[in-house]
Amino acid sequence: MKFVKLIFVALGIILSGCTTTYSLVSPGAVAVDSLTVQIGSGWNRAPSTQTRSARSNAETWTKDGLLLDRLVIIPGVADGESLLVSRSESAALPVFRADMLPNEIEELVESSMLKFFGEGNSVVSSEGLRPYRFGDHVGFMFEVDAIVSDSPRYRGLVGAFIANNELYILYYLAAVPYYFDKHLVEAQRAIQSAVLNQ
Amino acid sequence: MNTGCHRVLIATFLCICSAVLYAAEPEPLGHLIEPGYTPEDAADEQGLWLEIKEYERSLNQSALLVRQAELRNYIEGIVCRVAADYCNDFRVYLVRNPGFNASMTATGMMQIWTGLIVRASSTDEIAAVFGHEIAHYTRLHSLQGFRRLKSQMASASVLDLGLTILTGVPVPLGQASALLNYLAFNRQQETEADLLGVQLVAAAAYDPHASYRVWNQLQQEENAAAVKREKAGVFSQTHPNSEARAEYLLQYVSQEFGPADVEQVADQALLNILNNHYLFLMEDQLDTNRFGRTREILVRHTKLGVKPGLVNYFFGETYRQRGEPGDRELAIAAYTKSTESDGSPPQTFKNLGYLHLKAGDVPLAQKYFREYLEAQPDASDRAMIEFYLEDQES
Amino acid sequence: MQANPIYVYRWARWSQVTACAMVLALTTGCVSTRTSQQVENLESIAENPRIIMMPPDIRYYLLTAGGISEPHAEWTLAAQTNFLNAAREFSTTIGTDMRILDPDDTSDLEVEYEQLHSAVGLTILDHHFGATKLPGKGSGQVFDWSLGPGVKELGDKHDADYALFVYYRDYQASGGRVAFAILAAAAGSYVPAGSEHGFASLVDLRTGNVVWFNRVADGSGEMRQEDGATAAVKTLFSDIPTAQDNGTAE
Repeated sequence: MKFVKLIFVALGIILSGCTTTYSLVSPGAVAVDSLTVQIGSGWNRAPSTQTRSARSNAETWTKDGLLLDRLVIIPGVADGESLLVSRSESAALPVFRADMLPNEIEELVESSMLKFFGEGNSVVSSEGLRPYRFGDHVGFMFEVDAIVSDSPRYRGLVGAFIANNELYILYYLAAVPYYFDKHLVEAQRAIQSAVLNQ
Repeated sequence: MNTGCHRVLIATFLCICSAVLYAAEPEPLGHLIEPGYTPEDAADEQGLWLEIKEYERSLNQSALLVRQAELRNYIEGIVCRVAADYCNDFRVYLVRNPGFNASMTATGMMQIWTGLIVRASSTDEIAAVFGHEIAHYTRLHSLQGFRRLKSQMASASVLDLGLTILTGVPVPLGQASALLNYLAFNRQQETEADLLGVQLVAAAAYDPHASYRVWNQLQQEENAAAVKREKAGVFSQTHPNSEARAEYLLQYVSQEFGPADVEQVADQALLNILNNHYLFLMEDQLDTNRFGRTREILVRHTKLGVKPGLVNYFFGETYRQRGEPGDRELAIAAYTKSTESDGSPPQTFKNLGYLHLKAGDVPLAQKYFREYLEAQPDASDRAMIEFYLEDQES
Repeated sequence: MQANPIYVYRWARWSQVTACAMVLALTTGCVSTRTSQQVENLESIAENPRIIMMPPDIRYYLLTAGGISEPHAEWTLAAQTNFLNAAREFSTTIGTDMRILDPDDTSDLEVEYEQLHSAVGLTILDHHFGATKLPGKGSGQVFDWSLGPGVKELGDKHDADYALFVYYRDYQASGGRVAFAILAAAAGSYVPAGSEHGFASLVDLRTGNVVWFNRVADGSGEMRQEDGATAAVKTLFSDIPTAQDNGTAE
């Protein structure tokens, strides 16, 4: 019986690898781990096989496809953890520390995105750091800009706050021209709606 | 090059051969091609030229290409001086990449990463690296390497189903990645390029002793690294060990040109470049998160005479971002020193403000925040700074 | 250093696509061309709709037995040249005025849209024709893709109504590679002996919409040969929208 189960599991893995499926995000209030976000219609939840560098409890949503736009929700990053997942020791991924100020989180995001796009393959900058209140928690927002070789340029909007010594961060990253502007209003609304479940 | 030079080269080369680890075949070390060379018969060489031409076109359009005039002119000037008669054979591309690398293709396309400028302590050192690359070109190593690699791989089949091999797209390591295959020169070729490179450098009236200083510094940086690379970086994969190289070059240069000058004069040309573009050049290095190496580079820049306001700002940045016990105090000291010196950027005040805020000294933090807004009235993060100015005042 | 996840994304998808292709090949037979035609006719204020062809992004590689992918410049250049010639000829038969942009004459504007188009095209391949559909985008039932209205700048600059983008990658197996693939298959591993993927899209420069998209199919024509390129162009553009008043495509 166990052997048969193994076969099914193996088949499941092979077939699920074969047909990586996106699922529709139900419009309205959506829980992503301990965060709740208000989202409009038409967003697709990416399967984990398409987001290899994502943390296990993070979610990535897209309207037109990951190469064109993505909304990333990363709840509960603990002290000493990084925003991305990497197998390489020498990747030198930057980590979050609970006593970080907004400018340091800004740098953490810049540095993480640089690793994501490839060191030496891209240049990431940020600007417009400003305070923002996410429900009961005072946080902040800022914009990012990424120049990546052999790729369209990407612009992003980031929102983040620290609660219970953990970092909650949401960002929208999309290609320019056209795609960043296309979903900006919706994405901004979603990011700004984020609240921590009590 | 005249025949007298050839004889000297052969003689010294044969002398070095016995002392050097790498068994090199004795052969004349002059240029193998004339200026203005284009491939004629070899079909694979023509093919290589065409592909590189296409790669070059896309490089020309790359967003990571540095177009800043002063930087480009500085680099192109060095190349042309070292290349002498071959000056017009080369197109130089300065690419925004914090790593140390300079590469040359068979078509005369030179790619240089900004990380090279950051690691030089003299223009002569940059010239030495270029001399080495130019020698690769005039000795046709690129084509030889390509052919050799091709035959090696075909005979040593490896059952490796990595994605890289299935799709043929290499793991990106910056713009140079696509040509990594072509850059794998063997030790003999590297030695040839080193020795001929030194000749070119000296002939162009640069200091040949700079040729081994580069490798010594690279080794120092490697020693200072907090996190050693799991796998050797681009440059290390394709060039011999820095220490050994520095050694045989020191021997060769001393024999050829006598001992090094005791006094080293400050290099104004390099200093101007560093001072005028420091933020741009060092931001990328800082972003690599490799603090041991960054520190080592900053120490070198201090000795070099780069504006203290600039260097100390980056010392502050390095300590602040490293965030180990005691680093906050070191950062505050460095930033403060920067604000009292020439060339301090406005963001020094801001980061001082943030650090004092973290340390709990609100009035001092606010003082620095105000100074920041004064120095940079159009700051894009004004709203955040004003939040901290208001918030604490209530 | 971690591999660039954007590239990883492409590779991951690609290796899955090749694995799936094997499964599908076993079960369904040959994969055929599918196109998505959005407009019936091309329109223009001029007598003939004016099309600019962006420099075609065509690359040939040789997969050696050792697994190294060798860019084959000769094949690439031959394919590019043949393709352009065939495309030029073909354009006259469908009654359009097609100009081919000189690659050395492109500015940041063209490059920007070429980069964006590659991303859009690969996305269309993946989500419209591929196995991973986007439910929020009609699960492949709706074809709604665009480069954005900003392309109008391209149209104004070049006096054109439409832009034709072509993207093609071909990895040809050498004899050694084919033999290796057979051996590997016998041992139970799957080694693709060669692969190709590509697409062409026609973009309306007044709106940015992709009005026509075609995925390159296996066996559509060997572009390294002249007549092969003609056949490839014919198949590739087999149902490209025609001009309103002029003759129909063959």
